[in-house]
Amino acid sequence: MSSITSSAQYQKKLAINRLGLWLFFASDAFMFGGLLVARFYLLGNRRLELEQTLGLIVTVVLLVSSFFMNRAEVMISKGNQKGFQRSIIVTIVLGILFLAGVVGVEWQTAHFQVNEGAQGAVFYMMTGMHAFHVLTGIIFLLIVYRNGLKGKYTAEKHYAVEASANYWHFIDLVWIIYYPALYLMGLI
Amino acid sequence: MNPLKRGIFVFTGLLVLTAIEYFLGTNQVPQILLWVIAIVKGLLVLQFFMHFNRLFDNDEGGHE
Repeated sequence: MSSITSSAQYQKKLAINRLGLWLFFASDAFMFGGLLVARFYLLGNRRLELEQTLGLIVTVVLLVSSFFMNRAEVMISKGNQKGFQRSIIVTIVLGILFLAGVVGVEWQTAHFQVNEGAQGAVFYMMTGMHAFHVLTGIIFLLIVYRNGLKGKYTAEKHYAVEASANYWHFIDLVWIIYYPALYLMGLI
Repeated sequence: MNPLKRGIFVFTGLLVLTAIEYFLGTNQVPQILLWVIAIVKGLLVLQFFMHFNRLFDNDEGGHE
């Protein structure tokens, strides 16, 4: 009887947690959406002069990281602790590579600085805000990985893994929109 | 479908769409095509990676 009550309580808590996370995504989406609108308002049909190959590479890196994050979630749902840990580590490494590509390379090689008009403001604000979310995502994943090493997640109960995966995919989703908006749309 | 296989299919679809997007973007096509591809990619992520439907699925918790 008590296990049924406990399970019901867990399901209720799970539903509330999920709703809270999606409400956070909605509020965050408004912020990212505002930056996207600013890009088209300030730059119109003008495309920024950016390194196309690098843009494609960092985009693919983030997509691969999303695949491994999905794999990590599937692995823990099957009770495969080792597979979960390996996948989450790969996701973290790819996240760091993405950050290195955007902040370490693209920011250093861009043909304009942050204080050079609308293009600087738009580019550095959009990529900077996104990179900040990637950084917080990596921290979130490190915490989940550490808890995973302690055996805190099971096939039945692993909401933290689901939440971190959703957060990571949300970051990917934002970049899916930002990548063409910054690198591909408009005329140079 | 096996969730791992589904993940591979979705990931492959995202890669193919990104390649098409890159080709179109570097060849100055109408912007609307790029928007369509970006939205399709976004919907794939929302549906298959973020499991948007789980938000309305309270009976089993959705944990696979």
